[in-house]
Amino acid sequence: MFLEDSRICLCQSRYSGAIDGQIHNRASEKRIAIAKCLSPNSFFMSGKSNLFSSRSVKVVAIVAVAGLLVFLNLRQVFNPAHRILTIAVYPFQKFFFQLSSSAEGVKDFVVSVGSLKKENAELFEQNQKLLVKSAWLSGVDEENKILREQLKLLPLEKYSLEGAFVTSRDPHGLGSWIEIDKGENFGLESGMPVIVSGGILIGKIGAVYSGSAQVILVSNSQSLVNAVDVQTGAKGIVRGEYQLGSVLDMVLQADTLNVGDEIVTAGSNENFPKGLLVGKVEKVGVSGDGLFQQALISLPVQFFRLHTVFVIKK
Amino acid sequence: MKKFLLIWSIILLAVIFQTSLLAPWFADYFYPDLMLVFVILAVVNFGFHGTWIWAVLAGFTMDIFAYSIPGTHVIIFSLAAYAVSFISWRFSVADKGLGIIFIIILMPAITALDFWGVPMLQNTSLENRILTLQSLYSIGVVALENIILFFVFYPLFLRLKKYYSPAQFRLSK
Repeated sequence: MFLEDSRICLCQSRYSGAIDGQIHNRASEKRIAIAKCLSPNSFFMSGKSNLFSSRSVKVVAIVAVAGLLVFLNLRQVFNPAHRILTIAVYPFQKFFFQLSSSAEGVKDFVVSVGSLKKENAELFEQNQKLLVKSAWLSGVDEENKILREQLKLLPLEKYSLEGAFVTSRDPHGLGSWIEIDKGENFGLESGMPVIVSGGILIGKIGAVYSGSAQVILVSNSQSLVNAVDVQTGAKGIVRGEYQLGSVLDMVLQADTLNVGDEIVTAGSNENFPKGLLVGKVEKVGVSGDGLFQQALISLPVQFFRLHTVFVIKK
Repeated sequence: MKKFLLIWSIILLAVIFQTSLLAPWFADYFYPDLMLVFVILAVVNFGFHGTWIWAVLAGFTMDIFAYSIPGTHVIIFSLAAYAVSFISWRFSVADKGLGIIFIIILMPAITALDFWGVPMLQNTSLENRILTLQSLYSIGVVALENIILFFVFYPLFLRLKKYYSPAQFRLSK
């Protein structure tokens, strides 16, 4: 019975590739196909196996060739295609991204309508706490100025910033990169740091094309940034952990890390100026080998909500 | 040439939809994979032999726009197309009228292939491969969204089928 079925299947596929694989094709078409194939002169009746049907061969060939391409990692070969396509589709990308951004508010409203009352009560309570905190912060402000002076943070006015719009992002939901609408034509180069208002580091420029550039976010595992704890001076390397955010790694056991400490760039990377905020320490632990301390960093920016970013050119 | 440009335009539009519309729209949620759904829809309606070349082209286009290593999505889309084609014949879903159930069962498997396959091929280190693997929960959510998209776009492909026969969709005559 199974053999008969498989013969019919192969028969159908040989009769016409056109109807091959259809779920909703008409039953009559199938019956005709089967009848034609089961004729005495049919290839099937010779009893040959359908194991190596042309479909299987095609798939094996495609996977083999594509696998070789993946192995060889021929990104450079495809760069010209990326350049041309990016220029061609840029207006559409920008239009759709803006459309999506403008519709975001509607979606958020629909999603949150049920929780508005609860949220209102929470906001009232939060407001009371903020009033108290505001009074305390006015005192801290002065202290902060002194700390910044000590860290010799570069004022934002000294950076040569290039503003850019986000046009697309990682389609697999890993949140590892975004694409911006400026590239070589605006003097952007690979490795330049990317920030948002207030000097918050979000990543660095990856691949650059004439009219667009890829921003590798700090949550990407390819991202490595030398960083320092503002409060304790502990130094380490911030690396991406995809959806988990970022981790401050390679911190000496002798150094101190506290939950809530601010982590800023140490300035020892080639392009990264000192003092760009990376995030706050959320959890402190020990590395797998037990040699170093690690800290999970809560990032101050929701990367998926970014619409505009700034690239530090110098 | 006209046919090639038309179909490639649809592929390009779908990729732009995926990266520039769906990705920011579903920003803090899991979002569907429009390209994968289109590949499945094409195979369901026009058969594997009529659409494999377009699946390959869609894969390359997706690789270019997703900054992934060229060939990654080609493998995923080709295997997805083959799986849909292979299983639909073996279980004679058309005759038994089980098409809907078939798609509901198959979609999570193909979504898992996409979501696990891409990081596996993309990353060089085992640590990164493990880190980027999506959870079963997220795959379930995306599969559900893909199923909804499948049935949203199904009438469109049926309409396309009226104007283009599967043979016309083949690149070579």
